[in-house]
Amino acid sequence: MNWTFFHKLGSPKWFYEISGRWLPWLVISSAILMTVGLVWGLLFAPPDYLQGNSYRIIFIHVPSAFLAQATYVMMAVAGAVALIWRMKLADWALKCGAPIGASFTVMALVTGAVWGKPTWGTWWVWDARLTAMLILLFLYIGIIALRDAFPSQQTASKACAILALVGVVNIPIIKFSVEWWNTLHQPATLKLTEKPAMAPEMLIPLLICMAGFYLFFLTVFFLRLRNEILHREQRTRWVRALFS
Amino acid sequence: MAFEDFASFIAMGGHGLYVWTSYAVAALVVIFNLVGPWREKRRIQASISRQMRRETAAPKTKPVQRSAPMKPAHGESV
Repeated sequence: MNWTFFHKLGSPKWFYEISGRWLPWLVISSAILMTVGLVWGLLFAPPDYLQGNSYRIIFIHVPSAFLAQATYVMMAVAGAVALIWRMKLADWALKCGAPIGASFTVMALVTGAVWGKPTWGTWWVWDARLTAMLILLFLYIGIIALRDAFPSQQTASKACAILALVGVVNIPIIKFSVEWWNTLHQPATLKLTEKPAMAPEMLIPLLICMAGFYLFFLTVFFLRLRNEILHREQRTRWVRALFS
Repeated sequence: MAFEDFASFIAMGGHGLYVWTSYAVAALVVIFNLVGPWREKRRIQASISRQMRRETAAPKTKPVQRSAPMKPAHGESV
């Protein structure tokens, strides 16, 4: 396997250049996919035979819940890379992922609560899935707060990486909570191994929305990471050259 | 189209309030994630430009012994 990309990732300058080239495409493709997916889901997908039109919340609830977890896994991997190889870009990636992941967790929790009201008759239950998602939000908030809790930046980075790694145990709990416990939350909508139970008229716009939200995540993640690079590398010659 | 007219689209079969609240929250999260880094970028760019202007205005000199308390440079906030 060719490892040059991994060494290149160690160079913030290289990442700044490559992400600058990717950004316009990410912006355009995420905007198109999100627009198509959401318009399709809101206007053209048929109503659910049981839930009527309230199920249309799925088109934002499921992508945000997926992203809330995927962002955390990404941060845990970044934390491991930062601890093992002391790659500074990985530490910055961990830092930049946290506010995005937290915002998607809030989005998943709020859209879930609003969906729960007409479907279950309640905004909130201390169900395994919901509680595990709330813990995920606390993990995000903890990682954000931990960074400012140390006078030394290096100690803060290490502490954040360790917390991200320890907290990753929550991700399989979220994933399997609907199978391990008898929860109010419905089982997974999408499974890789089985044929989806969802009708294609609903499934296709949902998949488009998920692709759109994933690309949106990449877009705003790159925006934040590029800011972090500019800020940290502001004394280097290549950043100076950008501004002269 | 799953709806007969615009009013039934807004009503969402009686679930309009729930559906549109959710989508409003989603819109807020999207806006938060775009505006946050955008403002941060402007702040960092301004800070780097200011720093570079300051350096060209006052090229690298050794700190001199000050007899009088230093006044802020022209046009600079304290």
